[in-house]
Amino acid sequence: ADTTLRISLQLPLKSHLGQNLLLFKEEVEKNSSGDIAVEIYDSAQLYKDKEVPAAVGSGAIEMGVASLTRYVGDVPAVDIFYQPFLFDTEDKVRAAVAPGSPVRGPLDEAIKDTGSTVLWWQAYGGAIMLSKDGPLKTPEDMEGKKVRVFGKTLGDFVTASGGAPTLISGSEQYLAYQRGTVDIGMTGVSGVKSRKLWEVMDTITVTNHADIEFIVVVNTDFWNGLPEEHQAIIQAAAVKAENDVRNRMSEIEAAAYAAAEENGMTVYRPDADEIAAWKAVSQPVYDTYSEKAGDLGKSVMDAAKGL
Amino acid sequence: MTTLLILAALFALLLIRVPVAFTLGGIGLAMLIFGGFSPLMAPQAILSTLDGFILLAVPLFLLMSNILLKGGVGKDLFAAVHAWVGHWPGGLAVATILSCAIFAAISGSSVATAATIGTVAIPEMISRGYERRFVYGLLAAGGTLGILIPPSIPMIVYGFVTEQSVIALFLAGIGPGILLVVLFIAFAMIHARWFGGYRSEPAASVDERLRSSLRALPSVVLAVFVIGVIYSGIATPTEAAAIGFAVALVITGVVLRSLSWQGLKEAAYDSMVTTVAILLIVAGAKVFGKAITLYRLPQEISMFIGQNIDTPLAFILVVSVVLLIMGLVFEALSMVLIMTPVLLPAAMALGFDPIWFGVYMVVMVECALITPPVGLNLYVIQSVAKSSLSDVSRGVLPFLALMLLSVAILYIWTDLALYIPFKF
Amino acid sequence: MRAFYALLRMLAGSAAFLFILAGCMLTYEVSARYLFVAPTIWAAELSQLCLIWGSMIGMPWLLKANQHIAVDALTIRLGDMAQRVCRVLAMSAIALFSAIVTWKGGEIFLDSFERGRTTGSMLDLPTWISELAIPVGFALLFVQAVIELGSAIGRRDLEGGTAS
Ligand code: NA
Ligand code: NA
Repeated sequence: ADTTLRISLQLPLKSHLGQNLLLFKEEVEKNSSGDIAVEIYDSAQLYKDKEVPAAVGSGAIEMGVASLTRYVGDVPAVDIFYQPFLFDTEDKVRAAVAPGSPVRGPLDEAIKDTGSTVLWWQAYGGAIMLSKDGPLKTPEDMEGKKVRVFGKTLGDFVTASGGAPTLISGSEQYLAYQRGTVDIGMTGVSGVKSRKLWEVMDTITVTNHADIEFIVVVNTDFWNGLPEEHQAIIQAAAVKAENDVRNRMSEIEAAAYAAAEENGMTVYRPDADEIAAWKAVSQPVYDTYSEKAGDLGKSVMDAAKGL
Repeated sequence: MTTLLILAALFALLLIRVPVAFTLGGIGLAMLIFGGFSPLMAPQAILSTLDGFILLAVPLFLLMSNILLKGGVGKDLFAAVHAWVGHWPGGLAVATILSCAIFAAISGSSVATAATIGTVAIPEMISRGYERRFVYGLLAAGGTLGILIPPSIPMIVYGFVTEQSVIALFLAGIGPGILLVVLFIAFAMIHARWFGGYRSEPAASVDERLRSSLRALPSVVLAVFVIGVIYSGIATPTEAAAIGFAVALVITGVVLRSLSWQGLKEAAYDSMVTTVAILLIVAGAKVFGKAITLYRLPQEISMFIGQNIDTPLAFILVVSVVLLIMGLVFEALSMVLIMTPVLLPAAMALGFDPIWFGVYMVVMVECALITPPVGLNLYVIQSVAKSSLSDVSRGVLPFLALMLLSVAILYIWTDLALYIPFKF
Repeated sequence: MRAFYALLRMLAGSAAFLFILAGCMLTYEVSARYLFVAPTIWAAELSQLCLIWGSMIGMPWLLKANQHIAVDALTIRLGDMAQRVCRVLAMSAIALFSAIVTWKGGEIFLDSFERGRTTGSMLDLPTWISELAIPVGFALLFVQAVIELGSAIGRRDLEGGTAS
């Protein structure tokens, strides 16, 4: 092969993000008749999620998958997707993440300044909460509890709801729940399935308070150096991969909920009043966002509200 | 071919006495440059290592045990255990092993355990007529409990590189740790009965037992406390280490008043030196690991194993032999760092639990620590006892056999490791 | 030379202090979380900075004090001349490695510094604060390796060689 695309991925190959990369690999290798080789380095063999923006941006590796929120240091506006209940229906999520949409378009553009070009977005699903002995119907159920979070904005949300945010890594999650290091869990529902969290938590509250997105980025200089026909092949494969995972997302989530219920978990879906109670306490999170995310943040927030 | 070149370079640099950390880092960097990969990966890998929250547990656990050490707990511990079991056949040997086990629960390193207990136990045992080689072997092997019974620096490192839960690893080490203690004690008592070599002593008076126990109590309480904190999930391993450090400071500085200002400074300095030395090896190994991953060597070896070894038993036998041989000449921590990424994918494909495999690796590391010519615990005992390396090396042989026996038991009965973290 | 050793020694002492500081901050963090359900946002990140900077500024002193873990199974059996050759080669290897890491690590630092990149974590510090530690530590290591190289070639055990 003339060109090798090396992709760093934090999750294992068998995760749905890994399977999505495999689809991309097959597509690219087939359509380029082997001129482009794709090598996937899964399970953080090369880089942890949080190191991907710098690694791809500096050209240390050609491509990588990072959760969108990892760009918050460069582009604070990306945490629009972690603003509580902003994208509360699948339609809104789809509209927001469509290529070139007024929410995603400016973010992709801003990420370019970090030396990386966004190839496609990988859906990961909504953020849910886990608990023992009963669902989290309203913020009152979180009062004074320790809550696992995986980012500052989610931490702000927990604080606003009266809980104490605690950063726990993915690998310590299981034991942190089992041993009670934190009282309340937070993750995407597919994480419940892959880590068998039903062994240690008994209730899922389907808050979907945030939308978790991963992005696949390529080093911009490397990208610009590729021949046009290669760019076209890669872009086409990216579109195919993006649509595939987006369309399968609700199916993947449904399977994860089913698996959780089969393994004895209660899945609780808060009613409209309860969601309203959660939304009511979230204002400080929005305030912090508009304070931090500047003009770009304001424009994507306006666009998001208009969806 | 590439693999052979890399191995040759590795040995050449190690043998001309380039520190392990810079050997691994340097070869990794050279591979990146020659392979057309970005050399930026080297500083990125070093920073990424030091930026690992879990590795923060390394200096803190070291501070905890060094502070206790300067506060003289090794002596107190041994005196107390001795008062209780000293009159048994082989009682002094039993006391030595139990002291190693208790100290292991407050120390994350084998070297510290061997040195601490060795300093007090070796002269005592030899003056009571125990055979020299037996004493050396007992201490070198007993010291390795330091990394099997939590806390354990190699387990922290294994958890860091494999993204596995360090708490689960810690808890998984308890069962096999107890097994080794039982095997060592049984051997010591049998050795005493059949080979003699000890003078029996009178049982200590109740008064003496109580007095010495009271003196050793704080460190035993601390050991139980640290394991309790880890087990109960009150804190992450790093935080547990911090609490352990703070409590050790209170025990030696306020309760026992046995820690001087000078002692504290020495403990801080020693911990710093060990931490930097260890973390740089981890960082160097990370650079090296990235390079071999980009050369696709682990992937090829994994595939080769997958195609040629299809039963778990055959896998464990082959891997154990390879690790035993590597362990003769490799520094133990770098062995874990180099081999884990290569072996773990193949192991998991064969159905091994990653936590179980971590415990297995740690037992194999223990073997490496006591096999000549390169075995840190041998050097420690050699320098503490001022004896020859060959005496110490011969002394460890029966203990090495017991450790391999424990590997076999661990293989047959995986719950020995996995029961406490996952089913208890 | 004396001044440089004094500097390394001082940095080593600071490294030890930083590790102790990390222990104190984390103890405070756990107490705050358990006693008042009020975890701090700074303890985890600042203690991590202590580890990064402590390790990097302690590293050059370890070379000076001969405290890095190394295998001397071969070198102790060699004659004086052969030992010196090994020493020259080893110190050259370290100097070369540290020079490249300093240079490349410096690039990473400069890039983040110019872009004003932040970590995006709870405390949202600039990333260069931690990245700067790498070029600083390895530049000092480079200087120390060159000094050791000079003393191996010139066969003079420079001042302070036995003081540690
Ligand atoms: Na231990
Ligand atoms: Na060995």
